[in-house]
Amino acid sequence: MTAEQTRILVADDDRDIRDLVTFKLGQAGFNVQAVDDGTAALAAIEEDPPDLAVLDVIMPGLSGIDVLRKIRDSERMRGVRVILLTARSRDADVDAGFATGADDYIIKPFSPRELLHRVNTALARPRRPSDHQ
Amino acid sequence: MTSPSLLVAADLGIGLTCAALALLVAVIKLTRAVAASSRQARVAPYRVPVLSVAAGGDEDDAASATLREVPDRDWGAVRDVVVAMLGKVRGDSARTLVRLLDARGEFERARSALRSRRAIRRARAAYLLGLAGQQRDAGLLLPLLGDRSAEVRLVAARSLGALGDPAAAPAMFGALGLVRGQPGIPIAVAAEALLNFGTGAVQAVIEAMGSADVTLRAAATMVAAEGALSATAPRLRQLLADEPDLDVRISAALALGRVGGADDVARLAALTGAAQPTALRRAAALALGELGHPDAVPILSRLLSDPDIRLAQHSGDALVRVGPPGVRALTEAASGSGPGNPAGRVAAGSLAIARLRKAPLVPTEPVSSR
Repeated sequence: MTAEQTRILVADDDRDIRDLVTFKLGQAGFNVQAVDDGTAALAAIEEDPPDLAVLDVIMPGLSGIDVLRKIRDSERMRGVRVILLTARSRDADVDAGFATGADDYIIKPFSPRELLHRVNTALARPRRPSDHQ
Repeated sequence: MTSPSLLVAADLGIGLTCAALALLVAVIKLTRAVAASSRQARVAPYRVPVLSVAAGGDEDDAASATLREVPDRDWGAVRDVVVAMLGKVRGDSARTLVRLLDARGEFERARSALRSRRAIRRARAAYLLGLAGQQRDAGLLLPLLGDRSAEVRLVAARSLGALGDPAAAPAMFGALGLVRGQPGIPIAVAAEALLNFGTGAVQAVIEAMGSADVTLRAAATMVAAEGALSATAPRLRQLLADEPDLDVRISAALALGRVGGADDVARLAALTGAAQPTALRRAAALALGELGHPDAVPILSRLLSDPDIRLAQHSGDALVRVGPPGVRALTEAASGSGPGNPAGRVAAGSLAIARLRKAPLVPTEPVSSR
């Protein structure tokens, strides 16, 4: 799959972060869609699951963790790779993110270059299998 | 004037006042909306260059060059976006944004603004210098820890933490006490800044542990615990022996768990005794787990059946942290779990949580309950 065919959803209520991540990933050739809250993120993923989602943890409506939990509980969405992007840096927060099924966890302030590396690494991994596989 | 006339006049006056206030609010809102719209319009042509620089994708320097040439009338609005972006990125992206702000003279202006009569200008300047990350500015920020404005003191403390110059550690502790008769900076803010100073601040931390001010001792033990400053161990042992404040003793116990050695097992075990305050017993159990010494296993195993369920759970979690001997003890205890064996239930719970956390050294199969 080429970068242009790879679809990424970015969900963050901070416009600067949302624009920055969208710009960086768009510059790398990915097909990026951006939303500004957890509810819109879940709706977009349910409608047409992307290859990867970059989710802020603290958002209006559903939190990034809530969205991730629903993704992992759904057979249709389970294969979406998820990277959590958050200011919550305590070990317990990171543990909670991974325990819920995040593929990676990036702490703000972040390096856009490192984010791109981590997106590529996550995309290189196979999708999580559904119950039927 | 008759009474009815007075009432009418009063009603009219109140009505006019309300209408004037409503008009004032509307005008203020409209003014703000127009100003925000104007700022957005000024920023719009430069948003992509700002994103390009912040994304670290300005290899040919074209975006930076565009931003260096922004007309002065638009720069104020663009600068606010650049500063906001600087607070959200790190690495090369942040360094490029700093170079841009430096080229526009923002840091020189900020250094001058530290002496402004307006608190908001001093606070903004301190914030910007913290973002710039140049340690040579620490000396300029230090006096602001004694600023007449509490907000400025808070921003200065955070910025000094961001600069990471350990020479600021004694002043940071000093800012915890009363400043101009007002409460000092919050302990959490000071502790976070002190942690950023790293091991270079250890002498100041040790000295603060001996302070007569309980706030300083509390902050110092928090920093010793979070920063795992091993040089503080002797002073922590002393605090555990003679500290009158319970919160400080709790922090000291947790810190000793991070930095102590085998000799501290008995010291911490004594703090889990039934005669000790509940919160201290719990902290000591957690600290024994942090210490990770196998001598703690029998002590923690006994605590699995303590009537204080939280203490029992902490002891179970601590056994996991001790490693293989602790996990073996938990597995053994869990094998006897049942209604009449609370220790077994606690042990089974701790093992289940450890599996969820994917903690190492725990058997992958759950222990069957009998």
